[in-house]
Amino acid sequence: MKIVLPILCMATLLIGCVDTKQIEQLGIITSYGADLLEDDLINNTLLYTQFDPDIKEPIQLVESKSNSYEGAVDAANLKTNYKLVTGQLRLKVFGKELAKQGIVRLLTTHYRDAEEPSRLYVVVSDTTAKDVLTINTSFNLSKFLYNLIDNNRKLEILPKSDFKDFAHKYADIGIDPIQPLITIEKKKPIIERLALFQNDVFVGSLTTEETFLFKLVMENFKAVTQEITIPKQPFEEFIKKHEDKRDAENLHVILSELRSGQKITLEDTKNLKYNVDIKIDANLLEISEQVVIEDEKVLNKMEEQISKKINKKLEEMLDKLKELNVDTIGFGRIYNQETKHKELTEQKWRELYPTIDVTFNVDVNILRHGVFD
Amino acid sequence: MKKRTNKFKNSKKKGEFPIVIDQLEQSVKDQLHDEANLIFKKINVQNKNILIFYISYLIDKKRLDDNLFTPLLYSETEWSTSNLVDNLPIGDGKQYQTVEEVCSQIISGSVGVYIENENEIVTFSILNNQQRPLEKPERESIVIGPQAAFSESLETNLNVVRASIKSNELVAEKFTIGSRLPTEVRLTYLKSLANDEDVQTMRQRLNDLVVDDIEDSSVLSQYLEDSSISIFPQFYLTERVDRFNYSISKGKIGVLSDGSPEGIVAPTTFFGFFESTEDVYFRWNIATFFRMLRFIAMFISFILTPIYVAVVTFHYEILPISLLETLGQSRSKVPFSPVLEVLFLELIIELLREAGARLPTKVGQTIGIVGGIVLGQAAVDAGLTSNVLIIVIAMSALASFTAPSYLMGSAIRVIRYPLIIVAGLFGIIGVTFGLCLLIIHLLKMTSLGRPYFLPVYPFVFKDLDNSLIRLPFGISNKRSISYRLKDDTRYKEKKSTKKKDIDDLGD
Repeated sequence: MKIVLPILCMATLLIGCVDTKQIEQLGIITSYGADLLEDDLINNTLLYTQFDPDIKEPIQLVESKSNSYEGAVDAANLKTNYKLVTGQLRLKVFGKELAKQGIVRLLTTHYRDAEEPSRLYVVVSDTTAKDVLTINTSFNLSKFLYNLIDNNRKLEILPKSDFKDFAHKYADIGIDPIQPLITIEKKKPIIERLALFQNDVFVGSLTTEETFLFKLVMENFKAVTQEITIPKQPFEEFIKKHEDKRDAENLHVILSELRSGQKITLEDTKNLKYNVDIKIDANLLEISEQVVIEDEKVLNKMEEQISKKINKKLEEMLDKLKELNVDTIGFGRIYNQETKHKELTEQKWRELYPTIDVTFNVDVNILRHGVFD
Repeated sequence: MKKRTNKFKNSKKKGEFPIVIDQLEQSVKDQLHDEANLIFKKINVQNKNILIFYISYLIDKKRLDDNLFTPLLYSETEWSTSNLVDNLPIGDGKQYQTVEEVCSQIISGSVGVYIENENEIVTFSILNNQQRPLEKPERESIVIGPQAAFSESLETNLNVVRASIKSNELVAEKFTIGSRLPTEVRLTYLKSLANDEDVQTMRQRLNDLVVDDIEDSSVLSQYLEDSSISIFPQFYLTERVDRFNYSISKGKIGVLSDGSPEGIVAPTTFFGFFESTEDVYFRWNIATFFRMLRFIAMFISFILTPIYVAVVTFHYEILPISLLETLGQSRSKVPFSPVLEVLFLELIIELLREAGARLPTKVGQTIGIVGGIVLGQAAVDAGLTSNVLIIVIAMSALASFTAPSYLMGSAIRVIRYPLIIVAGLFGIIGVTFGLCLLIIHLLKMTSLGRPYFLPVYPFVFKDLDNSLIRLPFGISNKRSISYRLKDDTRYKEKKSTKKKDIDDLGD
């Protein structure tokens, strides 16, 4: 009884301390957008879901001006009759101009807030965040944007790019984040490119074709379909009949069920010589010309051409990254691992990175051709 | 009044016999408080005055005429107390020397015979026991398997138990409990199997029980249980004959009491309450599935509504976004807080259940339909509850009825309420806290001194068979080892796996 009574008292008296969040009284923020204003204030665009039996459209939009992320929600609260909460936030969109100045200051509270989900996508808008979030659609825009990224990531088209990836790539020395870049086409948000970050500063972008190459180096593909263009000339003798009259120079090849593995090794720590071995197993699904594949020779030739092509493209992509001084692939991290007892600093790597020498060895292996799964 | 008590006192004295017939008649009448149907018949055979007395509605009149009056009246020999017992074609003849003892026999369906000037009264039991026949179980119904339920008569119940356990190992110890209204209670177990300690514990509890009367087996089990504070039943009360017998054949102890259509089975585990005898009749894989289903149902039953309350009140973040929209839209019309909403609807369901149980069967069905469909729909239309909640409540109500034991089902339905309230006050933290208390309580409980949460705590791997799951009969050759039975092997493992060769078939 001596224990029970105080506990009962405490339970009764402390009930008032628990803050209730009844679902129907909440404005549940699902997307957040931030843009830079001229006077260095941030213009926030918030999409939230509210439940009102009288209002048919549950998705509402509110804007506010503030200097910080938490301030944005606070300021927006004054403009709505619902209590704004961030526990279902799925997407943070940053305007191009803001991203160019660094976005991490608007993400730091997110590291510590247990209420906000970790499955959250950080994206950059090609114009402003407001443009993306005010697109007039008949569907749920938050859901659309989230699924746009999520499904493409699951389909292995986009690289790993949720908030966790951003956070650790930002914090690690020798690797830089890469996040989707949203462009608006025909009043619909699409992903055309990927935003490259130097730490948290948006500096450039990769095309989706380059994304494939980037993923080849960074991640393993399990089953993906990819179109590759190779020169037509070496296969001239095997082409029965020219069907593709549009393109006389090139042969377009579709590889399906593409499976890849990669290994990056640092050959020489002094001269920074890297070796990237990439192994690709794939099915040959479609060719733009009717190439007669009668023996191994044709296939070998094709494998060789594809390897060459990918190799070339990889080198081009790396040159672009080096030029931007963005180490998205993380060569610095490998360097840091190999050279123990020497603390790699951010500044030092930025100096070293443009001087690295990378050799790509792509080994393409066509397992089957013409077979649909 | 004074006169009567004096007489009463006199009649109690021993050695009042021999007595005059008229005097005996008067003293029996006094003892039985002038029972209107008490019949006295004076006959004279071979110059002996004989008084026969009985209560007319308690005895079998045909047997009275055929086996008592006929041989008595047409006898050629002279009757005496001793040859009454020996020569009358009725068994069960007893001799008494006090009127009080005789009267207690009369009220349990005996006929008293007194030959004038003899020293003893003889009684013969020719009870005409009015009892309903064995019927189908109504509270614990199953689809396949034997369909017999205990009746209110202890004799019948013992009869059916003995009929299916044909072994002289079956012991049925007799106890009489109740100082004012005594009831016969039988402690049954298999001598060669049941744990002596458990039997002794039960025996002692029955012996030590001092109470004026027991109304039913369920009352008796409450007196005998380890903890009377707990909400959970610790002994299994069953009306099914096959379940009772199955338990006894597995080394458990059964208690039957007169006037009750339910047998007590002890010791029982928490998981035992979700076992049905049907699990034995089904194939092992189906039985395991159904048993798992019942455990899940039990869990759903007491966790689903508290979780709903917690999520809707505090933790909107854990919901998937599409579910959040559905929930939010259905909640937006409701004027109450989620706790009140849930309590309101739970109350309706409990009222329906209670009304359905009290009303006659035919009306009960109508009430169920009216309540379930019409009320639920109306409540949603009126904006009193959300339609998601209707599904949640219906599911947890349905789930609570899957427990084979009605007592356990009710216990689960009741523990839901405190959980709903803590969920409304503290959210998931509250629910977790409540669940922890519940689990601590269950772990601490015992049934007849044996852990209640067996075989999970203390964990006994070999006992998972026949408690959480059911293995094929070919494999499960062991009885429960945690009850320390005298013999825990049902059959030798080697013999069951040995295949007969064609050469052995001739043997």
